[in-house]
Amino acid sequence: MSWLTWRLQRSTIIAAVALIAVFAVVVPNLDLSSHLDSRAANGLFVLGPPAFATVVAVFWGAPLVAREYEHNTYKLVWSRDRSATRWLAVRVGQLLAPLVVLTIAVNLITRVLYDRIVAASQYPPSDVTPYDLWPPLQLTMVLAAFGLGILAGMVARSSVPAMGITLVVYAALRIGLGMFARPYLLPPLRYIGEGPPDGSMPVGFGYLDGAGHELSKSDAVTQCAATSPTGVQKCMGSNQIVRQYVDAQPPDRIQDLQLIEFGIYAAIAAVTLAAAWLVLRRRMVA
Amino acid sequence: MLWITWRQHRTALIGTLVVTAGVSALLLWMWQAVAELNDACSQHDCITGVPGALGDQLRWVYASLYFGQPILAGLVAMFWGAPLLAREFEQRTYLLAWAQDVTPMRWLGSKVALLGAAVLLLSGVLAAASWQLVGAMKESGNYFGMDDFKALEQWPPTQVLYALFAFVLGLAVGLLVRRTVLAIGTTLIVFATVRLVVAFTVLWWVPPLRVAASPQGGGLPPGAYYLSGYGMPYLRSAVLVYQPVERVATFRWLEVITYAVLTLVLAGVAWAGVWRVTRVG
Repeated sequence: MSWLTWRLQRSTIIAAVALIAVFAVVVPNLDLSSHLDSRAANGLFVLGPPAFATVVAVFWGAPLVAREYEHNTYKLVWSRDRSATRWLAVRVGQLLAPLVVLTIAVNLITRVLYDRIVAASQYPPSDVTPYDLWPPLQLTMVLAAFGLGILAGMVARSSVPAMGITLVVYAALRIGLGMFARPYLLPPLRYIGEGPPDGSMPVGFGYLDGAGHELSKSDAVTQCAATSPTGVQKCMGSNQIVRQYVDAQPPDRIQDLQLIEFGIYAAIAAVTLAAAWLVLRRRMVA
Repeated sequence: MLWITWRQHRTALIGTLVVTAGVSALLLWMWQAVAELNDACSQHDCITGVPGALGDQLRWVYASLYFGQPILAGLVAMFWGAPLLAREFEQRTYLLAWAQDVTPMRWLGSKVALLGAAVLLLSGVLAAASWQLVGAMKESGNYFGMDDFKALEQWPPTQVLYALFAFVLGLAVGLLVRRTVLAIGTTLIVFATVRLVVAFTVLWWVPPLRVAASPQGGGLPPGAYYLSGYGMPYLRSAVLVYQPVERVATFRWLEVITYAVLTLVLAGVAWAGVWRVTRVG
């Protein structure tokens, strides 16, 4: 990292390091036998890494180019003998090293937290899974955040709107992809009359009629109620009139899902950075 | 003044309006889904209960219920409150804006009143929508385990006050820091810290009650919120620490008063700060 990059970015870098340091101090000191601390541990595990990526997007990425426009310093910076696109490449390149180091630190601390939660309870909450902790995936999630922030700054040319756009878009991306799209990245397998193997990622469940068509949940209740009004529970559990199915991703597919998600975030990172670079080059030519 | 406020803040206003409308629509949709299933399951016996019958939609229920309000308040703090004064200082426009025939106090007062009214409106809509969903989940009985303690942060007056607090916090931080990006970052950290500390500790502000666990492992009075236990589990010596259901109202008002006091103090700080700047300048 050059002296100039350090001077420009030091407050954001120091702030990120300080937040991670707080995280590192809190994690070993949580008392997981207490109800309060174990709730806090789950919250930290689920929200900690996405919060880091979001901070990178909003505070490292978005102002990077936007600030130069806002303060009109771009006229000075980009008219030197070095081209504007080279300036962008150098600035992004120099921030990548601290970004990778800090992401690895977040990853290691979260792993410690995961081990502690799993060791402390027989049945850890369903949202405590090591899925996001696969290092390539976690790294590309942060790089996509950074790229998105830079592109938003390039488009908005003003820090505050760029930060707002980045926050909303990145949060929507993470919630949409992580909570809703993830189980469907591969067509889930259907288990009828048997449960999915241990360690599966649950997708959904429902009921089928005799012909194998999916029934809505209230239809299943009604059909059972019509045939055996006294024993609806028994009827629905016994697979006689309506059959239960479970959709799930078996454990041996988890790695493939991670790989697909890694590909999506890597593509977002590459496309946003390339788009920012192209927009800047076009503006310089014009 | 209305026109200037709208021009200066329209991006933030429209963006937040879109987010609020989206989350509120999602909450109302989920409320419909839960209410319909409550109805169907009361007529026939749902083997899996209402949450099970919701299936994949269950994720949306929790996501919209627990993330919606903090996201709205966070956006208000970071993008309405923090830049309001910080931007005027950073771009030195305060010298111009405050030198006109509108006095600085009136300038600040009318801006805060207009934006504060918008905060009230947006957070009120979101609070009403999420309270509908909470009500339907309570009707589902034990399936969700939703009760007034679990929904403490969803109580509408709490939601509205904590959005107002977020706005005034951003305002005060912007005044003290005077640089927009730095003010936004500081606001985010302070807001998240206060919010989390209050949410995680509020049930300890009134000393909890203790009861000896029954040998079967139960022993809490109905509706009580379990905080922790000590002693040997599964043995007669175990002690359960809890808050009784009668204290729900106490905790609601404790939280509301906390945010109200914080809001008033921060508003006073901002007021005094602007007054000093204009006096010296």
